[in-house]
Amino acid sequence: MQFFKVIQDAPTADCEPVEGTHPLYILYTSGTTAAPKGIVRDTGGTAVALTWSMHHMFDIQKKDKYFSTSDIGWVVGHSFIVYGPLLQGATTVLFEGKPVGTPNPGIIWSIVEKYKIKGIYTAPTALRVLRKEDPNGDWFKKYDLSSLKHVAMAGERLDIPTYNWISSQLPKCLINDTYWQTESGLIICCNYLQLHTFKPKAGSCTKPVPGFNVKVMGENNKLIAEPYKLGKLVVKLPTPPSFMLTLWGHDEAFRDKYLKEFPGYYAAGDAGYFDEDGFLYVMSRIDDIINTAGHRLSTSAMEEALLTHPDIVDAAVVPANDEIKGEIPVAFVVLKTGKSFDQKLLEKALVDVIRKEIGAVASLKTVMIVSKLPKTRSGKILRAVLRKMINGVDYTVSPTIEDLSVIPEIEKIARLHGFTKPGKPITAKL
Amino acid sequence: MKIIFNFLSRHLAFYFYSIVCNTLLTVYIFRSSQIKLIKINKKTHIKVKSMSNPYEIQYQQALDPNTREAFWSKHAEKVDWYRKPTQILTEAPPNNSLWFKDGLLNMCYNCIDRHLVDCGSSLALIYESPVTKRSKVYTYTELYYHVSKFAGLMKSYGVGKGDRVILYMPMIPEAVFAMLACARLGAIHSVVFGGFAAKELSGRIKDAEPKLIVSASCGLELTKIIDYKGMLDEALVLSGYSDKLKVILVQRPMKIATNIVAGRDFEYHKVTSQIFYLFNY
Repeated sequence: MQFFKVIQDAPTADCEPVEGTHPLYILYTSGTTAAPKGIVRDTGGTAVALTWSMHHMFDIQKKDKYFSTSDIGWVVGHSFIVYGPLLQGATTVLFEGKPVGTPNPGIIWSIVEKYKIKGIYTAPTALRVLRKEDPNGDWFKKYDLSSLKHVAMAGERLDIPTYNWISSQLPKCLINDTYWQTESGLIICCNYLQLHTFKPKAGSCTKPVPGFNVKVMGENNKLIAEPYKLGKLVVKLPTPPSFMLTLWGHDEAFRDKYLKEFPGYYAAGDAGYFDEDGFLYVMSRIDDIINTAGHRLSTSAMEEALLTHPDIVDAAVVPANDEIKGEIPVAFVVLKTGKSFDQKLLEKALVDVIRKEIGAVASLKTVMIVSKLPKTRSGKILRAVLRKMINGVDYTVSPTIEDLSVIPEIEKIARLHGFTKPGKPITAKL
Repeated sequence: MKIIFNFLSRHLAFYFYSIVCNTLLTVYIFRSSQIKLIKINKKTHIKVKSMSNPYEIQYQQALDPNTREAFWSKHAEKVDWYRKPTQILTEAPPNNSLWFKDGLLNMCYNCIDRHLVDCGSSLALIYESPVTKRSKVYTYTELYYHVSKFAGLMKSYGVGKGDRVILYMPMIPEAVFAMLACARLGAIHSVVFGGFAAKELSGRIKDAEPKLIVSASCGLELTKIIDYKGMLDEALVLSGYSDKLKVILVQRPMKIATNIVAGRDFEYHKVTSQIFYLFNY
């Protein structure tokens, strides 16, 4: 009976005018060790930047249908499920499901057909999962995808093999790898449907968004002008509208974390380089660079090389401490569903791939074949967990981990590969 | 019907007024920014070839300290303001990049209300839930109804401009209503990813000090049902905020939460008089 009891009919409320810099929202980014970081977003800048983005980047106008597969708990959800499409008077899709398993790998394409979706926003990890389950693109062929004009993605860099796969499945769509962060609000670097569509280059997130003066910082705080030289990505102040105002209640921590390292610049925390045409390549978080016998190598470049092997659908490379070389790379790979393999042969093939693509300096020796990589729900590989585990350091597992059961499995495999004293997860004390 | 009629008549006038204003201002700003651009070309000898594509033009405009404010000011015309901003960029702490400081606007108005005139009956939100095998669509008018009611509800619990509201929600339409309702009131929402453990949620509660939490009885992960309300209760105890705030709880039929704390927890379907909520999702 209590379900049917009417307590009170809610009154409606009118809009409250707020200043341009009034906080629209706080969005916490997952910090596993430190206190939560609450990124504060402005109202006016966000309204302007998102309106600009929906038009220039994605060509989403009034009554167009837009589908972001993200979750409202992430910045992509804030910008591209809720505020972006609605600012334009477009239609947005709220998707309570997964790319595969609810009930099949055709669910996204069935929604595209059903509502004549014009643009999709997703994550490289979702595409890799789809590629694993649907390598030949059979599910794409079941639906009419003629309304679809572009597929954009963020979360991590879109690796070249996955880029090639999705491009061949959707030859008429612009595959738009976008680079940004919760902090940046506006996309930092991408391709543009309305402004000017550059011919995409696999592995690049195309060109910086107007308002972002992106530079590459080298040793001794000197800017790198020459192309192809890897360095830390920075953004010259002032930053464009929608950029984070501060960390909620911690102005000083905000300055220390983002503005102190390079005075006059925002430190993005990622490593990357420009090519001669001004296309940006974001390689990895700064901590994903490893030092093997004095060579600074990007683990994501190695991961990408591994992904060129036809049987590999997912890969993570982390450094293991080495007495002689300082650090040596160790690879964790996931095979295509249903592939049988000979451990020795596959290992050799992958070591050869790395030799060929990166060079012998990478000296990859260990390849572990696992059924799944530890990932956050937003698709980021928890490389720190893998790194600490094989180096015998205890670690905290991010609360956003997608599937906790992968940890013991990987630990077992690591032991078999000679990492006899793996680090243990630190159980959170409540 | 009456509400909609009143609403339309009120906003129609504003709509025409804003068209006139927008057109005049766009022309003005566009002209002034063009003039500035030409001046800069002379000064810095930017290659004509590189300026030929619209991307390069916009990138340069947004980059140059002399034109960047005009650039963003022009694009700010696409947004409806109660008071147009005159201070476009203020290089002041904390981030040295404060935009549209003296402008007055409302995000929810820009996302919903202003579209009612020409898009009222077109779709705003499509809820596709393969995990529950449900789908539901909302027009802009329907979205307006749900959001303004949700905002009214929040207001009745004392939520106003600048107050924090934590949303600990699965991917259901109420999550979107709640976000927009916060924006409507000038309240600051903080969406915490549904399924975050109690400890994580409690850290965020302590940091944001919300007046209200909007949550649901459960979330769904493929075949698993995740007990959001149980985790929320635990987080409230951990944070010490258990008796310092109110909770609006959306009951989902897969798992009805029974641990309702009188005076703190309010079930959404009850306070909005939804009798058939169990058929929702």
